[in-house]
Amino acid sequence: MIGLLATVLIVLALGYAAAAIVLTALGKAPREYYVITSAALTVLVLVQVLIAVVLLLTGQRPDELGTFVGYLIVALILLPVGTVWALAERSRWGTAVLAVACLALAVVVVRLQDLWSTAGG
Amino acid sequence: MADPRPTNAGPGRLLVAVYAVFALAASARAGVQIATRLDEAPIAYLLSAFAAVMYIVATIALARSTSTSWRVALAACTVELVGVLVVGTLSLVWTDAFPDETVWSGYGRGYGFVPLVLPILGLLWLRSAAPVRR
Repeated sequence: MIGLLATVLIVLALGYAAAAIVLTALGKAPREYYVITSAALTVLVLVQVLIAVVLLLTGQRPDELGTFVGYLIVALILLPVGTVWALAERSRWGTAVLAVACLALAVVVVRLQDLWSTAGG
Repeated sequence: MADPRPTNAGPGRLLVAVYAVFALAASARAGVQIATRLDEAPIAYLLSAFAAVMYIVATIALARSTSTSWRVALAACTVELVGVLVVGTLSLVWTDAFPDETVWSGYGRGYGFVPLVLPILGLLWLRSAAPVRR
């Protein structure tokens, strides 16, 4: 895990969530271009996941390996699934779904960092 | 009987998303607990698994939004509310039986009381999305 990338991910996910919360409060429905922003963030998540997988393959192991791998998978699917579920709802509630997905992503990345710290990486 | 208003539209869309995240979190945690240390606190961990299944059922039932799934969602939300109230109370007065936290311990304290709030929101939402009766 690269600590810096994880921090960037957390900040971006929280920023995206904050934007979604403001847009929800303003009553804005989700827009198609959210697919692009969600995809961009997911690419960064993918980079983080690939780095973690490489580190795992080179022998670094966190204590709770099963949980760690589970979080990696969840981190990868959260935004794609959340964005699809959000875009199908043409009201502020669709935008709120995106906020939930982003907040969940931030939590998952924090948990990944916690778990990885036991591997001394 | 007319179909109920969709439980997966409007605010229901958000409710399904929150339920999905929670179902995932609860089942993942219960799965790890049961797989790695079931003998430490079997009641607590099996209860966590049961709670996780209820969240999964509620998520799917709310997302499907048929008149059958409305009833399934009502049952799941009711079980969740009763569960969090009963287990929450038991965990405070009968601490020996719950050496480790379950999702419902202390009224869902370990999860920001979401386990207490979620079924209440679910039941309120199901009432507003109820089938129209003559």
